[in-house]
Amino acid sequence: MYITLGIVGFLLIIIIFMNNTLVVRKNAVNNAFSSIDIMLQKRYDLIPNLVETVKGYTIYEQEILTKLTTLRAAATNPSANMEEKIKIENELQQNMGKLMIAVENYPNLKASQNFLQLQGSLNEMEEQLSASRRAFNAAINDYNNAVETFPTNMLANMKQYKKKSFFEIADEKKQVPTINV
Amino acid sequence: METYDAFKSYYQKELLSDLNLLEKERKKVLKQFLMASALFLVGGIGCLGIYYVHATPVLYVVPAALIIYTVICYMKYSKLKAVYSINFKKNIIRRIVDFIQPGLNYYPEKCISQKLFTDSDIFRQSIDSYAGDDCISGTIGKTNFSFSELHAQHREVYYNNGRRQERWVKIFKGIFFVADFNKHFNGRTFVLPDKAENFLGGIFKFVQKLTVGRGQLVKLENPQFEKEFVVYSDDQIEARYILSPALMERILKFRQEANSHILLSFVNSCMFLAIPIGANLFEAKIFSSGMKFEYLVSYYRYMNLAISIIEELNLNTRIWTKT
Repeated sequence: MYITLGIVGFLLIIIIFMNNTLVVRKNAVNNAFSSIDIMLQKRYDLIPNLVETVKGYTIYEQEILTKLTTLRAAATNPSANMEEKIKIENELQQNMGKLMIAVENYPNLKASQNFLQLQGSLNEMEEQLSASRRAFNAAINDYNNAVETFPTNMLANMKQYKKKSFFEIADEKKQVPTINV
Repeated sequence: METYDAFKSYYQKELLSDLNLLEKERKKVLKQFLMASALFLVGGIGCLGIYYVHATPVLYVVPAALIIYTVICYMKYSKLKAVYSINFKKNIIRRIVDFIQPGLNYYPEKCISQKLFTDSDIFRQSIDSYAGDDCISGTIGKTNFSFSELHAQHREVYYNNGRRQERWVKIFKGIFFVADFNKHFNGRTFVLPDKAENFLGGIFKFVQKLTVGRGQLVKLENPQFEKEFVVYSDDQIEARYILSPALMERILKFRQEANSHILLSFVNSCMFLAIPIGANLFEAKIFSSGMKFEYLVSYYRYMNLAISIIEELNLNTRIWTKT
């Protein structure tokens, strides 16, 4: 009698642990994902400053600068859905690339203190963004491990927890920006 | 950073003449020691002799005087030894440092401060004895750094058959390096040797003591790095910001070159690196020739290793907000 109670109790404890592991890892994924969002926001906030600094020194880059400002407004729009956000982000990356290449033609701009500081901030933002993506992937890895391995996979199935996919670079982003000479 | 061959030719061209002079001084110091020891032996035998022969106690005065003289000789030896050591360090080691990297400061009798050592938070036991020497500091490129030999110990009380006894337990002995890191960060991140790598029980306990209460475990993507090290941090993202894939590779490479376990911590926008080494480095030998190239090359190797940390870990790349 007591033995059965003991076994049942023991099993219950195990189930509680498994459940908690699954929930903790799922939450870690969500947390990491929102961190990426925060980093992206911070990066968007640097854009107006960038546009102002470059405007002062350049004559021919109006097109790219206007594009960047529009994209930034679109990115910070709260009503954009996930797909739109990704599309905007990719376009933004491409245009930033084009701008950085164009800046090569303006040695005064490249040497200005303002621009150098901005570049430092942008580099730091990129590095932080990369770090948050890596943290996200690590959280996904842990979660997937819990969802797929025995014995937590049984509980995961019951709770309808599915395997999630890693953060991948979209194919468009992988293309190197073309230089229009 | 110079190569081994360049150092050999430097040794032959520049150092040998000074080494010869120092060698003469060393021989004097050695003679003093031998004399002191001989006198002590004679005095001791004399005392014993008088005791066994049952001669008048007055005769004890002679060996007693000898022993007192021995003590004086011994004190003289200590003083000579200290002077010789300082001369050796100021002359030879100072020049080896200049050869590896000109423009650095070398303080033979100073060491990294205990505050900085505890700030690094790598070693958490309370320190009962702290000593060190051979401090080298300066700036290479944009990075300020300093390092020294350190020996920190902890006095442990234990009970043996009910009797209270004390012993000294080593906390750290080796080279301790501090540098200004090239990125800003707020929290603490630790890179410590991985438990699983170490089968020896002693190291198990040592590492376990290090790992409790250090924040979250951070699992990184580099499998080789994960095998060698275990990473703890207050913040998962900050840990990855600091430990970029490139830096992880560099740390691995440095670990191989050092041929010893290394411990790192990133605190207060500084990087701390501890290389545990058993022997006393950079000391002037008395009982054997301090002139041999093989002997000097080991100084050179450790000195070079520490100074090369900045280049090896790419600390001079300052493309982020910290300049």
